[in-house]
Amino acid sequence: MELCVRLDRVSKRHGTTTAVNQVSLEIQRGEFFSLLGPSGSGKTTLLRLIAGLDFPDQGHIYIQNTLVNAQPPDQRPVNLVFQHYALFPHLSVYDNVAFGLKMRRQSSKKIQSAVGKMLELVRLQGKERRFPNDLSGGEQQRVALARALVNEPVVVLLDEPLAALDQQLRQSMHGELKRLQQELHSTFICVTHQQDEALMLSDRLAVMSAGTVLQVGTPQELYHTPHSTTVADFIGLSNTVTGVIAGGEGEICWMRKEGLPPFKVPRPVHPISSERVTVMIRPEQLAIGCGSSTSVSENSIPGIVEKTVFNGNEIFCHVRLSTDVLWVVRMPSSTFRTQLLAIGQPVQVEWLIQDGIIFPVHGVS
Amino acid sequence: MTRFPTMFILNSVAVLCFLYLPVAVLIVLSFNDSQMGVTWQGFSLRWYDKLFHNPAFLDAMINSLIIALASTGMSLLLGVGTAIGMERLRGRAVSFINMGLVLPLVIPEILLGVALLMMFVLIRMPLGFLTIMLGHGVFSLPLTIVIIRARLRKLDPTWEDAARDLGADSWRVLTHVTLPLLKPAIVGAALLAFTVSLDDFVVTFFVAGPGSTTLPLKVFSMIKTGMTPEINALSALLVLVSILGVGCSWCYQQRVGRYAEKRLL
Amino acid sequence: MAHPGRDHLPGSRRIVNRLLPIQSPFPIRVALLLSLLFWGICFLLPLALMFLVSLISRGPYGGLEWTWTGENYVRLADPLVIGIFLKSFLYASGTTIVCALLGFPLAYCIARSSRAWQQWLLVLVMIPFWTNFLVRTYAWVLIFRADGVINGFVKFLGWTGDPIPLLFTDFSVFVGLVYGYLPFMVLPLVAALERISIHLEEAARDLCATRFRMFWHVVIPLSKPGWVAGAVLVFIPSLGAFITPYLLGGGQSLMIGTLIQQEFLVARDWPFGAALSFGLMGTILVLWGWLGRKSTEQAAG
Repeated sequence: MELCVRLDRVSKRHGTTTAVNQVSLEIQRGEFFSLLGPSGSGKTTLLRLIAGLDFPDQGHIYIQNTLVNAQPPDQRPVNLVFQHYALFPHLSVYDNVAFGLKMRRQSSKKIQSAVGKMLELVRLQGKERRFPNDLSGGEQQRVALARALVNEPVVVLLDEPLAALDQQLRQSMHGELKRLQQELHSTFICVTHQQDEALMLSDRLAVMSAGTVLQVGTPQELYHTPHSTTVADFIGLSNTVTGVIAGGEGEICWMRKEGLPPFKVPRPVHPISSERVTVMIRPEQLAIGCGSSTSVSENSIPGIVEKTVFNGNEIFCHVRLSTDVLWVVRMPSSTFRTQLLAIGQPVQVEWLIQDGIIFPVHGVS
Repeated sequence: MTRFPTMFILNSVAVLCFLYLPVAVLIVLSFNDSQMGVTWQGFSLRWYDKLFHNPAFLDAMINSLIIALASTGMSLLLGVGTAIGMERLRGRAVSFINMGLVLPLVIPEILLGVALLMMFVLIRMPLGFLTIMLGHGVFSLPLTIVIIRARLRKLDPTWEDAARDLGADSWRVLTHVTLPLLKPAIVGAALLAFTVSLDDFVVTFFVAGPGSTTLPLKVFSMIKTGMTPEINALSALLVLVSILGVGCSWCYQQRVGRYAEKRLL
Repeated sequence: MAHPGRDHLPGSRRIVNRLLPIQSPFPIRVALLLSLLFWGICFLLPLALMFLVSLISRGPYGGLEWTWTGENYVRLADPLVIGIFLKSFLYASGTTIVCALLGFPLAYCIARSSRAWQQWLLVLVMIPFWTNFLVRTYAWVLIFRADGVINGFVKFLGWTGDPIPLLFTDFSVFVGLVYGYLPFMVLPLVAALERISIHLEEAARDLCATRFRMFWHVVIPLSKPGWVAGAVLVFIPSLGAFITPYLLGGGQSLMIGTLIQQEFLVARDWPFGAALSFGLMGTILVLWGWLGRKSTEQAAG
């Protein structure tokens, strides 16, 4: 794979706050790469640094192995799709899309054919003469995409591309984005705070928090083997409990926690300095059972149903395991199950030992 | 629906009548055949006729137009660039410049007038077209800057970012994005600067020299030397000009309104 | 931001770049510099010269004698001058208050009427605002003078005595000032009132406020920026008014503005005129500082 964008310990301060702190990333050609993080985690700043709209205080930015630190945005082979699109209100759809080519002084004939092709690709033929204010949100979004893509940039940067659209439109734009990226074989770097969006669209993604990258990996890796509880919390729901590891044989250890019966967890891959660990299990990996048929590869802990939340296709059952441990079990909805899970009902929570993920606990608590 | 208290409506109507009473009196009397006084003696256009055959009036009108055009041109040329440049300034410089910008608009015109007069006399600059034009620039330049900055602050800075991202250097960001988006404000500022210059009396009164009589100065001297209904005709014409001015700017704003005010989301 | 080869630019550009090291196209920087230059020469320099002149003596035949003296400022304490200052102050305050009282209901109706009505009402207010100030003041001369509109009307009603003296009175000056500056009060008030959400008024009414209390406790406090801006825009020009007292006050009703004009053009006592001007400017700057710089910026915008 060919390296497309490389960030080497890049930092950027805004006044006294550090927006981006020592970030290193490598993004391959043809990848759909997402930057996921809560607002204020520095992901938009990172995007602006790559686009050249801001310049890093420290570190190096390479695009196709060329150092671009001091290159102004008009000379970089990247284009940005802005969060609120930033379509020029005084220009028609055609002129908006043609803007970049005009700035590069392409011949008008070439512009015409390129813009025509691009508008066809984003399914906006026939709307060339409209003005941005006359378009719907989804159409504006597609003009913004076309305006960036028509320049055939090495990297397309997308800043919360779907944030301004409503739920349904967003769903259909997911497919559209992926289709465009695959048809054009281009590299997309997308900033988002929507974890489902990031998981569905990306080939790889980076989770950011407070200006640093916490973990980079494929959606699968990040979901199933997060490196920290912060990453786990940000991607999907998670149930955690903190306790002490004690003994065990082979790949499996015993974990003890006051108020709970001892249960089995997988042995940590890396040797852990402290004995205190946190174990994390995803809600859909838990099941409600009756406790009779526990196999050796499963844990089973008794608890009491505290409440159930029904959202149509799923039930979230909140089970209290001890005074300070409340776990959520996620299961497909059915009338039968709903009836079974009355509040106050004693139940067994069961899960496969290998589904537990162990994190070391740092510091004293 | 009784959204407004009755008192408010009555008061508003009264205030509007108060605003238009003198204007109406002027216009009506300009068509009055009477030589003196306000007694109606029949409809007549003779004061207008007399006015248009008065070479002094025509001279004054041409002088006024030349000066207004020149000072508006200067204000736009410097004001647009200055307003855009000021957006990039940061820190203490901005509040200092703001002060300096507003000061000429806030202090009474008579102070500007006498101060300029004194300077022109002390540096031995002959009073005339140039001094009037410079004098008008003292208030129309800040006025232009203030109007354009107000619009600039409403512009979304990501438009400029988008243009730079699409390969525009700073000069072409200016000519392809910033200036077109500022056009309504530039037109508005030009209209205002032009009208203010055309209407100005106080500063002009102090810095005008022989041969540079403007329309307001002409009106003033006509009032002083004895009131003939010719002044009424001239005044009515000036009212008409201002109605046209307001009308033009209003129509223009309606036309560009589609993208002038709405911000894209 | 890297500016490659900045030092190889031609001389003039290098100077401009150095003076205004901001990231803007060259013509922008030139415009900024020229504006500053213009402001310095045509605004700051005249005021500085005026300050100098206010500190020297008047020569014979109205010339200037370059000997330093503070006498011109001592003369400001003359009871006659103080009287004129006080009177102007009174006029300006009265004008501001009356404009506010007359302007508020109109501004409120404009701000709260439907879009189409609002456009028309604003145009109605704008037309006198854009009309030549001199012409508007002159119209009141036609109304007030002995054979003017009011006296003509009174005579028509059957009055047989002498014409009522209206022109060249304090009353005529006051009406002229209110008339001249009323739009300056209405427009900022409209802008401020428009920004107040109608829901705030509804909430106030919902919380059992009478209409009067709703205005007093909600609308008026929230429209304060408009009041302050309007007050600045009315008070300051009426304090330094010149046309109005000159045309409508005649010799009887001197204000600071007319006094300054007399000293400069009639008495040809420039040093004293300059001192008077600085007295006026000082008064205004103190007031301006008191009302707060912020609201003035709003007013200008």
